[in-house]
Amino acid sequence: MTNMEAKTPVPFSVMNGDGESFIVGDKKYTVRPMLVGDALKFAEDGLSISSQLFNLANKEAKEKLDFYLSQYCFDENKDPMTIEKVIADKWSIIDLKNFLRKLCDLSG
Amino acid sequence: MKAPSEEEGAHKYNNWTLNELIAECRRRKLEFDDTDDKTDLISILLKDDKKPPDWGVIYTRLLNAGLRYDEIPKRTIPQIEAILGEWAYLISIKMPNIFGSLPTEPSSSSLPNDGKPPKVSEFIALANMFSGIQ
Repeated sequence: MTNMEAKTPVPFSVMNGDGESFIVGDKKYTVRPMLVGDALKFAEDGLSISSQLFNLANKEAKEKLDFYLSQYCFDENKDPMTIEKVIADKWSIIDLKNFLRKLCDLSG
Repeated sequence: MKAPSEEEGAHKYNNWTLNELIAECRRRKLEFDDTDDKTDLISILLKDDKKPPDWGVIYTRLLNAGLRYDEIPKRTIPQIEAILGEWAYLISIKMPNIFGSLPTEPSSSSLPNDGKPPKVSEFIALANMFSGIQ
């Protein structure tokens, strides 16, 4: 088989838009891939993956982060997450960074 | 021509044969010389990869594949790539480099909390302290 023909089979979960689980402490969350329009917007939004201080200190960035959390991260009751809930569930900045990484990995 | 670096994405094509690279350039209708070697062809393909996606072409391909117009924005990029099949290269969107270019948080050894990463709430409190200075 040539390199051009080498193709990884696409799993059903991708075609079905399923998310992946994400664990913080003893709680399990689901991160779902972004819709194409949101993924394009995310790529231009300039949210920092490595520096959560920027995302949390800048009002505009914080609102964007809140948007992506509420649209693409869900708790065990399938309720959308928000920054308020992230605080209540005692996420660390590493957990937040891991969420963004997973969101990027699943979405593009 | 200077060989493309790994950061430029050269690894994507490094294992391809010369004939495969030529075929890919032809498929994408990219101009190249018969004298171009592997390095030249990889550079041409990488340059093409970096071009912004042409959503007119992508929509046309997806509509031809049977997707309804209003269904397209409700799909994810991996789904669109799968439906596009051999035309998947048309989408060249790259999610932000996950390692970022901005400064990272201090290493855990320099953090309070016995080396544990700070909670989001602590970070927000810190950020709020600085927001008063602006």
